[in-house]
Amino acid sequence: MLSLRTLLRHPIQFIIMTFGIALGVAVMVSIDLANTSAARAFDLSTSAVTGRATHAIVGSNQSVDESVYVRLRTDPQWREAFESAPLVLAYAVSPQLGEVPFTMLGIDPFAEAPFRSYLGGGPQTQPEAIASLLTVPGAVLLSAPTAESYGLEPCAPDELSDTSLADACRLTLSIDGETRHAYLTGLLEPSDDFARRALDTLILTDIATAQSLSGTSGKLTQIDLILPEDFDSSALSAALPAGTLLVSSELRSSQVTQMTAAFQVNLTALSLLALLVGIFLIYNAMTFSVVQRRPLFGTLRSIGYTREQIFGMVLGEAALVGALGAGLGLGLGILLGQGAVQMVTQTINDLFFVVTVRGIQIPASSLLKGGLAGVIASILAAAPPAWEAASVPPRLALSRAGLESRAQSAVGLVAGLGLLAALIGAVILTIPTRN
Amino acid sequence: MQNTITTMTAFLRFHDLTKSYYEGEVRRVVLQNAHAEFQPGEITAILGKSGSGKSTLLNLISGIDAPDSGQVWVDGQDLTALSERDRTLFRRARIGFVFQFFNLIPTLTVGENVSLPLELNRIPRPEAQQKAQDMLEAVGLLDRWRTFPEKLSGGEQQRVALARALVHDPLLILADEPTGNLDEETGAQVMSLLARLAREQNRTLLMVTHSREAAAHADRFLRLSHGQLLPEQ
Repeated sequence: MLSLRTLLRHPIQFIIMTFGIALGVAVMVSIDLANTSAARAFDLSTSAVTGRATHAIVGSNQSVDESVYVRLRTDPQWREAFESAPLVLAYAVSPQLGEVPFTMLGIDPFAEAPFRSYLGGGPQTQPEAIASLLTVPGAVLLSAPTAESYGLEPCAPDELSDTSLADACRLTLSIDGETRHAYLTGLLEPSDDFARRALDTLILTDIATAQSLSGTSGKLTQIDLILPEDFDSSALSAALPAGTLLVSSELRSSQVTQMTAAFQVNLTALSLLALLVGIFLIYNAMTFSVVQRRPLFGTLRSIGYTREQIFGMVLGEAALVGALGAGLGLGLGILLGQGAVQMVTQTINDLFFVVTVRGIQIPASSLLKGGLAGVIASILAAAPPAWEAASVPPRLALSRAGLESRAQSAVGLVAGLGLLAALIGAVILTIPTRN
Repeated sequence: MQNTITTMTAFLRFHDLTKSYYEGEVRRVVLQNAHAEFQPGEITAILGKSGSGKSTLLNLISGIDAPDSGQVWVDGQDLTALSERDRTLFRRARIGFVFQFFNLIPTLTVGENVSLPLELNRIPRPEAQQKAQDMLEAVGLLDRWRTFPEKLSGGEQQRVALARALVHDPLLILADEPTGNLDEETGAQVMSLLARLAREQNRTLLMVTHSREAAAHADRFLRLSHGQLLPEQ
């Protein structure tokens, strides 16, 4: 009661402290949400591309010659030894798709089934849609929810001969700065939420179309493999031509994750810096409040409050501010997270790899972490002033009250001097230092 | 040097009490081998100039400060043998304070201020409320139960402070210049009230004052001068 009334009696201090911690928590939560969302989107995107592949043959210059795949499928040594599927990967943006980066995946529908069931003729895919990839030049598929969200509808292959009908399903794609055209000829029906999110930003097409659209004729991005557990991969590695190499899917994924880890750690550190500013605000406001209330603490000690009770009282005030600030900060953090995720994604896209986040994930762990950090930071910030309050000798109440009152009367004068100093500082800053 | 005769039956007594402070490098002795004893229900006024050590004496008697040497006995308990925490708990249960500047808690209402010592002593809320109301009625301020101290006059604030000092039935009341911040007429009223309540409840009242008028309510007078506590003639 005493703590709450004290806080309400000094609304400006109360607002500064609450605002400080709310801001710290908000920045921390928003960065955490952005990081989590980007990481989750990356995982989904990787899962969508990698599927059940255990290894991949990749090229040192980001491409593998088609002949390597032909050899794997025809050489009796390898043909029956493992499953393989070619893949052409490119990134495309389209005005019809909100200028959001989409992953364009070129596949061989006949080889896909063991790798990515929701792409290669599984129960979620319409057979006529898969067939259109082979029969219609420039045919692409999108997931049904994605197409619906952008108001797109596929054309039947026979409608493409009519220009007016074909325009409705024609997509203008920008790939590596080149403008290309493709036709949406079918939809993928994801069977569950995971598949829905994995397909969210995926354009599916066949190898030939992908090569044509990305200008990489005769080249594959990679060849996915499912190697048996007891398979001797060293023999395969040795058989590969120069400039290609066999890597495990797990290793590739972890390498990319490691690339972004330092960036995400930096962001987290910066978000903690915001929390540190909040801690500093609480520390200052609480110290001021304690100094202001020294006679009160003296009185309370005189009438029988123990040091522990005074310490607990000040910490209680901080915990109250912390809980309120953290609550506000969580709400604000979710709002800020919407913006932060775009910025984080943009940076990852610019520096590391293409990832598209179409909505932020709000894991309970991020909220719990942010909330706890807010309350604990507030309590830690208030601990030194709380100790100071608990150390106030009770005799101050008997002998210093008048002195403190007189000191309080000087507060206005001192505040005025402070304001004047700040003003002089501002004027000095406006003086040009260079002609 | 012995200023008063001490007996083992006294409610409050102190013996060989010495207290000094350092002002920079200089040690200033405030109390030197002070002795006194006080009987239950006795009202004593301690007189002395500013800086003579009157407040220091109250601090030592209440256990707020520890003496350099000597002992303080209150109701058979040697306060100097207790830890700081135990002295605080003793003060909470057995001692009532009246301050010169009233020292009410500004964020609590009159009723809450008076109930505070009862809450600290873990008196159940209904009983605490009843006792606080009775006490406020005794000082004539029951109608100000929900008022905040800043809305009260100085005299009213000191009457609330009296109620707070007495509500938990302390055996010893320590008053530091209880009329020092009041005009003459209000001071006389407050002092009469304090003395009447102390006598009615048979409490030992020890007050430090400059005021002859306030001291006139006392049963005996002691003067603190040069660290020595002497009977006032």
